[in-house]
Amino acid sequence: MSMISDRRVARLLTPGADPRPPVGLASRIKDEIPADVRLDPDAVARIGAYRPGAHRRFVGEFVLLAAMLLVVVGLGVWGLKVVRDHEDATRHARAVDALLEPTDDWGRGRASLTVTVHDERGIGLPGARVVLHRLEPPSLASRRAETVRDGRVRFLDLPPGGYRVSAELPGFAPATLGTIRVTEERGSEVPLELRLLAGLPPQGTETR
Amino acid sequence: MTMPAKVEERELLLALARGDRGAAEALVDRTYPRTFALLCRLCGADRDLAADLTQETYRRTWAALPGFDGRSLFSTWLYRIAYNTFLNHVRRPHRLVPLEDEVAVAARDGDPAADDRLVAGEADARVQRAVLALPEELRATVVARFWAEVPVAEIAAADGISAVAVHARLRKALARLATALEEGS
Repeated sequence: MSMISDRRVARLLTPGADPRPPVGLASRIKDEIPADVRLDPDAVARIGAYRPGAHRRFVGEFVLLAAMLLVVVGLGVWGLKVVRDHEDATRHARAVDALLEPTDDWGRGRASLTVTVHDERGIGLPGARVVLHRLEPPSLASRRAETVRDGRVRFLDLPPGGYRVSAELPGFAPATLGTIRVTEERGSEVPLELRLLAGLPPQGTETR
Repeated sequence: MTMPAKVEERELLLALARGDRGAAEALVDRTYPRTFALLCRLCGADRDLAADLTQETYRRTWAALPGFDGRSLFSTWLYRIAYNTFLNHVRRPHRLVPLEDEVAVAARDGDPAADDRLVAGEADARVQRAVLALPEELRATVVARFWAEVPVAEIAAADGISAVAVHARLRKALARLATALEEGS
């Protein structure tokens, strides 16, 4: 590495006072100017217009701007997606909540429904699991109960509306009743028949 | 016709575009001292040679005037012609005046400050030799910036490169000159 600094070299290069031109030099030069000396007017118009690297700066700025625009658009799209996903999730959650949660009046009504589960011979079946689904208004919530000795089960405090009743008991084919209209005027009562599965003896029959 | 001294170069060029010979004379008045000074430095203070080359520079300028495209200032364009005129001259070795003779002449003139001038002259000659020994690209940039005092932006415009590239060339040239001057000291 050199011991002479670039600054010192620059100082050495920097000239002192300009040497005075010899007398008569200007006249000799002017005497040789052609009579028809002329400059292209377009060249004068172009002076100062050209700047090297300007196009590269423009391209660079354009690329930077495009990249920034892409980032902004990307962030916007992503943000919109997040918001919409969140809205969808919220809406979905509300819908699920609405289905899972009983309606405000679920369990507060005054109607009742008695379900009698019996076999093909009309004998009440105790221990049958009865599930009550509310259909109108729709809800995923349900109430469950088991039939007592005479095959009956009673659901109380039901709001009026449509219900679906299903019952199952080991050894019997599950059965479902479609929409059952429950009103406040009087207690509703529906029978539900369970059929014995083929190959199984009727309940209460001893097998050896 | 005498043009005011402070008339902008652009105004003079507009007048020249109209065929005003007085504008050409005004351009000469405005530019020839610096052109001569540049050539003086390039020629190692040989004033007669520098004057001849200055005259030759303007002859070439008038001849090349239709080719001036306005990509740079007229003064920058003129400097390039002066520089090329000098290069054409030094490429004919039989006409080159040895720098050592110039220093010797300075030492023989009986001036009381001759020793100081001799030292200064030797230093200038060393710098000049180091500059002329640079590769063409670096030499032209150094001469333009330091001896012709052309702004960096103008050098960039004339060479079709960016100002950053000009600065890079200058840095490289200064480093080489530093090494050359140190080796020669």
